[in-house]
Amino acid sequence: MAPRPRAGRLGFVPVRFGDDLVGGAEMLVREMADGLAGRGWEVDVLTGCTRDHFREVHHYPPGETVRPSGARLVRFPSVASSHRADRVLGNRALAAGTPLATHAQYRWLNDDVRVPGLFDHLIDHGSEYRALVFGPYLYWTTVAGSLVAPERSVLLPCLHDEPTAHLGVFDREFRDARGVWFLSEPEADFARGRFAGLAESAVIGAGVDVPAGYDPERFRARHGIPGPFVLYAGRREEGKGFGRLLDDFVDAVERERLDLTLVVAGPGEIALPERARARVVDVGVLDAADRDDAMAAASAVIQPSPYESFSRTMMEAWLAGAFVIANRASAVSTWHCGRAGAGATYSGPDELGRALRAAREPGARADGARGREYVLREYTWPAVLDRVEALLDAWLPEGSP
Amino acid sequence: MTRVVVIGPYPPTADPVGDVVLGVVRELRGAGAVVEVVSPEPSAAPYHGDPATWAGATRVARAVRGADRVFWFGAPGDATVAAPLRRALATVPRVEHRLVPPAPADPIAAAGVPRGGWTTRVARLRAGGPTFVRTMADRARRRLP
Repeated sequence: MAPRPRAGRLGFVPVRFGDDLVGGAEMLVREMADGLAGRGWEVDVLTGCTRDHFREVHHYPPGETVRPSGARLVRFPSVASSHRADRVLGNRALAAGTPLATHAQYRWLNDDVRVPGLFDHLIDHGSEYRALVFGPYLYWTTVAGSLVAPERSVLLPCLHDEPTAHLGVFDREFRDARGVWFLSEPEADFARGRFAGLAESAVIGAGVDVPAGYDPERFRARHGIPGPFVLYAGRREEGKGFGRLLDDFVDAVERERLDLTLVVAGPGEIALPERARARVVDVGVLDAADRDDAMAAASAVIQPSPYESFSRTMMEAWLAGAFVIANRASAVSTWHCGRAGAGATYSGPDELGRALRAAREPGARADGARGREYVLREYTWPAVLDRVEALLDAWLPEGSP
Repeated sequence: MTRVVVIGPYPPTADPVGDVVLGVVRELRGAGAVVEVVSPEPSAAPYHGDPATWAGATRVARAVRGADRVFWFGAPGDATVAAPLRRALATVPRVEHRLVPPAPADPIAAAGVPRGGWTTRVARLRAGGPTFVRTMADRARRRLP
């Protein structure tokens, strides 16, 4: 087969970018941009200076650097109001289920971190890109940037059913973009139901790196955890279902009389309820190798988040051969379990207890092996980048206006 | 090099005039002009200010000073412009008003919700009230024949 021509410049426009950022969407954009640059594409990453939307708006210096992959990283100054009143009060209204009028939605959006220099760059140079990839859907950079050159804009929305997804302020990007890349079929289904006139779309999935090996004993020795445990790896916050998990886990192990510890890893403050203290071990933020070793050592990895557009954690757990237990409220997690023929889903402490018991049974390792096969078949970076390149050729062929 | 200041709604905005302004900015930048946009509310423009208020007019005036040309979208005249901006505009060689048709009726605006600054809106939100704030362009449109 003739090698694929990789002509034309690609622009990636994430809301924030940095090798030290651990969010799923941030890692997805970073690895996709670097992966395509490694395949010979000319790649620009166009972003602001923000590390954290409220606390570190001007964290990175503006300017231009070249990444080891060959991708060019261009940072434009970020701008944010000093009071952030529209953002804070809008978030509060959304959390309370209060509808926001159209005008209030735009005030909420424009009180996000803005990057006017990036907008100007897209006005001046947008037509020089073969494709401009924006994501996630809900940030200012995506809403504003994608309307400059919609005919060559592709959304990588990382969408799920949350209050912000129902704001009309996002309708235009989903309708006018050249195309939308979804990470899973449930994400695409939700978008089809939510956005009338949705642009052409495809499910590309997300890639995960396959570790060369695992050393579960190294994790146990390093953190002093000799007994059986289940693992939560991710941000410790309510939106990820973390607080609910603590209660459900304690209820489950008490009802099922299981000798299990819950090991929690990841960023974020943790306030343990009194009853959970004896059963939870906090190992803080782990590097990638330590996290992978922890997954290989665990009896099961729990994904309690009800809001997922892909769930990288489940893929990393299955690669480690772990038994995965996921919150059934997430259509995406349930979809993965069904497709992989692996893992278990739960709703409430009774079902969680039964799943934890199943994780201790002899068949659990064979279940994890099926999960690993699923990830190797669907979600390695070479497989995902092949899909991306095929879509670029189909939607935005070289030389298209 | 020509320095042009464009005053008007700018994306992302619910106001359809924003797309018109973006088109003009694109043309001007493509022609090599140095373009600065000032919108009545926060947007993709680096500055914002409501020309009908003293503070906003001062901010817009700062951008206008030294410009070779000013495009003004949605304003019927200087009647709604506070003094600092009026004085700054008087120094610009060429000021063009682009009158635009009224935007579709906004039910909240039609309900006569009073305007206010962000502190007022904070108080109003806390009290569970509406948050709509009229912009200069909205008020200007109502004065159009």
